[in-house]
Amino acid sequence: MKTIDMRYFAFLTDRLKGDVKDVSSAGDVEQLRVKYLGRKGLLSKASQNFKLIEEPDDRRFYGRGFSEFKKFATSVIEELQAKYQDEKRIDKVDLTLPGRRDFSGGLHPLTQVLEEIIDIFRGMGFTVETGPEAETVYYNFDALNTPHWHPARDLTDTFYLDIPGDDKLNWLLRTETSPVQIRVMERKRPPIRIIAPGRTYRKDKPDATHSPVFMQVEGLYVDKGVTFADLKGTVVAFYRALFGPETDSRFRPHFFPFTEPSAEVDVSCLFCRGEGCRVCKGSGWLEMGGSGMVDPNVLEGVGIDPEVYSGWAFGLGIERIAMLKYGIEDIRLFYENDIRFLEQFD
Amino acid sequence: MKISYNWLREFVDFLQSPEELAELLTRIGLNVDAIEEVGAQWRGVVVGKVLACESLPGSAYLKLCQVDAGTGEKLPIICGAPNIAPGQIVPVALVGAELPGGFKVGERTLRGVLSRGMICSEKELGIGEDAEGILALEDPPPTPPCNSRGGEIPFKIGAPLEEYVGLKDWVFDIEVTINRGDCLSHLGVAREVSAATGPELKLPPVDLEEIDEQTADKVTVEILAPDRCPRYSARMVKGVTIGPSPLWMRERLRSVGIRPIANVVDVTNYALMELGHPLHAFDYDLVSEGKIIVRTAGEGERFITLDEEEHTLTSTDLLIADPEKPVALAGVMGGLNSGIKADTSEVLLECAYFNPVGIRLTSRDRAIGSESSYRFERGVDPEMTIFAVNRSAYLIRQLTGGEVLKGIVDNYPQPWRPRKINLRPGRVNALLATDIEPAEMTGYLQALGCGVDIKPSPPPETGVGIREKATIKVTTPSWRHDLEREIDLVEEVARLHGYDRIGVADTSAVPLSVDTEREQSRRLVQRFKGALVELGLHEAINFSLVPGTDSERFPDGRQPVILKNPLSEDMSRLRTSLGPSLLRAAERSLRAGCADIRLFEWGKCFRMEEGQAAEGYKLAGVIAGTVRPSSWIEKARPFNIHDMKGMIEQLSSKISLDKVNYIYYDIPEYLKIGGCIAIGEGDGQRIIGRFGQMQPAVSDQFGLDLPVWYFEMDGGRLLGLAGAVPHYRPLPRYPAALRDLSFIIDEDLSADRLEEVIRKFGGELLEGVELFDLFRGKGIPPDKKSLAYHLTFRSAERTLSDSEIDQSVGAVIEAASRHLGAALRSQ
Repeated sequence: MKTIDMRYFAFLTDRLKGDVKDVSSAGDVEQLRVKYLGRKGLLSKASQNFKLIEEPDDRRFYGRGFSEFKKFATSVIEELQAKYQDEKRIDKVDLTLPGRRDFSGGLHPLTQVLEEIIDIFRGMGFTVETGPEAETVYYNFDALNTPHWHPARDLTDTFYLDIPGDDKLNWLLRTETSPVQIRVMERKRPPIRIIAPGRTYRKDKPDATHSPVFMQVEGLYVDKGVTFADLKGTVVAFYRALFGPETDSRFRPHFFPFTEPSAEVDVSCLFCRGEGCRVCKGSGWLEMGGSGMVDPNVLEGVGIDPEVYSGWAFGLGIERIAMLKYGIEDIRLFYENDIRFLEQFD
Repeated sequence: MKISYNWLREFVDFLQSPEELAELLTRIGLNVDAIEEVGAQWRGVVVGKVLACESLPGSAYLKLCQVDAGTGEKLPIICGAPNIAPGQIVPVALVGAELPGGFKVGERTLRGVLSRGMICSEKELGIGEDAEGILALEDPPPTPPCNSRGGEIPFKIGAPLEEYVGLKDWVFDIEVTINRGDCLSHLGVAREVSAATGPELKLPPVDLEEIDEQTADKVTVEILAPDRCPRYSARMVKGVTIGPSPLWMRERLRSVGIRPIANVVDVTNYALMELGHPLHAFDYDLVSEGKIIVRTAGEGERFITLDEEEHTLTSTDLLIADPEKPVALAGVMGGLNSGIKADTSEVLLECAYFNPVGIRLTSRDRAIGSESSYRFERGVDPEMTIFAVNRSAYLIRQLTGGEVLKGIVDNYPQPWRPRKINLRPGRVNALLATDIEPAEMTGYLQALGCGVDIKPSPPPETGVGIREKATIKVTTPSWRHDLEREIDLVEEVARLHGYDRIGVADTSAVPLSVDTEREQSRRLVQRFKGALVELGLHEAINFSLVPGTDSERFPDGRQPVILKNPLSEDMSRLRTSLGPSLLRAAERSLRAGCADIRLFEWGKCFRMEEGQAAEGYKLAGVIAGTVRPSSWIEKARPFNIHDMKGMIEQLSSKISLDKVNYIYYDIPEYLKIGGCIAIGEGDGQRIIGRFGQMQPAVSDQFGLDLPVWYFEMDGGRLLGLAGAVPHYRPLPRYPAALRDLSFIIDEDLSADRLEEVIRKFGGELLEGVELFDLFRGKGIPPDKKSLAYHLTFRSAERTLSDSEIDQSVGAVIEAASRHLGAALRSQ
């Protein structure tokens, strides 16, 4: 007769507890199940010992041990199976599903372009200056040498403000950021090296290329011995920084009241590199903005002697640059703030 | 200004092709916007000769013609024109030709007879109104009498039509700047081309062959306003026959944008386009006593111009009158009562010089403009009147068979005098960074028509300034009103020397830029914007011009600045708040299908303050929709007031606003619930903004029928208060102890009161208080709520003992009970 160790199940319990510590995958769980609960497993073997026990009390005792252990082992293994089933599920994650995102905001494209322009000028030693948008005729026209007959002064071109008691129409919305130049030159003596970005207003009906409210940046440099060649040098360097090192600039004579000699600045077309395309209307050049040597009358007006000092100024439209840069064909989109539009520049 | 390439060549012999010429003009400041090829609209139309012409069998009026169109065979063409005849030279549209208007010519069979082409009328060619008969061409072709190359135009059967009529041309659309009125003509542009390229300027012919009768016997001119009209020249042509101008003149006018009318009027327009000097032709019989009086209008005087508009005049308007009535609004437009009629036989030609300012005022105040006023406003050449009136008389004689009376009545009370300007060559080179010789400068100026005289300078002056070897004494020509100062001449030298020949200075070594207060503000604004972008908002930039209804729909209590001359009611004032425009943008995006709105703007707002327009920056935002985007993983919940406040709290901390607190009274009308954002305490407290949920009645007005959240802050105050530099606190060396406390308090008691008591009585060991649960319902009496807090205790010097913490917690519980009646919630 075979000796049956009645403590066998206590031993199995300890062994199982030990084995559980080594389990680290669903595969290990399966091995454990086969070892204890499998057809040829330890529990199956233990059941064969039943018939060898003769004492009824012993049989009962053995039976209770058997069923308790079976219950314990089953629950431990099911628990492990449940635990490692997650692992199997993770193996099946579909990563082609879209990720979970939060709202993302963005700066307006005009702000982005303006910041880029300011950065370039900061690097060239310019400081940002600002001024009021509701201006006087003096700063917007008179001090900038605009002839009294110039059509820009007309009610058809410029917005005037309805200020009680101001019958002479002294107040207007600035038509360019140049009044800032006057305000700075009144306050400071040369050397002056500033840029003035900001909103400007002209009485143009809104259409694809016109907007009554728009943004400009103007640069001003006044010092002893400043020349037209300095103007060209800065403008060429600026547009290369903005549009790429292969960008050419062209200066052609023009007329602006506050500069003389004056020049309109063109850059080689960004799209065809001067070959001629739809955007540049075949000319190979894109018109960018005005520039020139500060008119002696303007300097005299702010008490800077034009025989001692000279300077240059130049301006450009932010919308125009942004339209070229992003391929936008309607200026009105900038001011409609349709989120579907804004999102494209995040 | 439209300039014809061929026409220009009558004034100056240049060699440039149209493209090269356009390049040249652009380089000297006459920007060519476009080049249009004239004659291109007639591809497939040639000159043909009618060889034979017989009635088409079975038709009353159709004729079958045999036509030689230079194709090597006789073309059978059926034609219905009554004036067709054998031997005529005619325009023939060959099969495949396309006529202006898009009509394609093909083979056709009429009554069994094949027709291979079409003989064209003026109307079919788009060059006239005559559709009655075919256009019979002259043989040999006429040449413009002005053409210096007269008779050179090639002509053979089969040639393209535009070559026969001399219409192969290119028209430049030139942008003439406002200071260069002298370039508003072919002569003016030719003068620039001549100066830039070398060949001399040629003037067109004016052989008048006057008759004995004197203009002065028939015409008198009296100028009562010599300041307004410094010169008036008049001439007479009699025996004219009014009729259409020849084809060459009509086509030439048309090519530069002038509609041909009838010969005499066409001539004055032709001379205008040619010389840039406006002329007016009166029917002499309609000018009483042949007497011209130049006078200012009486107040309220009425006058009907040629375009049949009636004007009420004032004393700033200048009139050409006869003793009985006004006959023209000087320099702007003739009168309906005295213009050329179909039966006019005697023509009084006027060519005057009017003061630009006066013409500008009339043109502006009467809202009337013309080719004539456009030029007078910019200043025409006062010395040109005689030549212009002669040129017109010459052309009228050529075209109408009229006879030119002897002499001119020329009243010139204020003769033009040239300006004298000194130009210092050293000054030119100093400004341009060039090395141009004085002789080269005088060459440029002479080419432009200036008189020059070089004077050696006296010995060098002391002090600042450029030492000049010489001074150029310049006298300006009569057509250049823009040359007034030395700097104007510097520009002329630079222009003709070539801007592209001026150097490009090296900018690699630049001065440092100084960091100003404005720079710091700009960086702070970048931080505000960056913080809002991080919070998921998009920056908007709206018009600062807004409709008048905004102040009623969005009552912010601010007095708006109103425009005197708005474009429309929609843009009639400056915004007092960023809100309305943001709400409009939100509505637009929602309508376009966006479910979530998160917009902000940083921009200027305006208001009337003590009778003046004041302006300042504001920061505002509009939010509607959910707190995060809905996705397949989770449905997002709607944004609520606590999200709004959280956003303000996060923004405040991101931009380093110190001592932020909130006030929940005194919120603006447009908010349903919300609060004010305040900085500081007591007397130093400053309200910097507001946030909350919009009144549905307000957002409804902007078409938004969902909850809308809004915040607004004052830019100036933000810039003054934000951006504090964080002060470092040492990291704790001893562990913190955490205790959770759950209080039951009255529903009406606000959470901040409880938190205040906890902080106050928690002692100096209490480091942090954080609300982690708000509960109403089961186990909590009605009218009560439960608030649960994490309390963190810490000492910088030691690890705290349980008894120390218990003591503090006990104090908090006791104080909450005593001051607020708060009970501890049982666990």
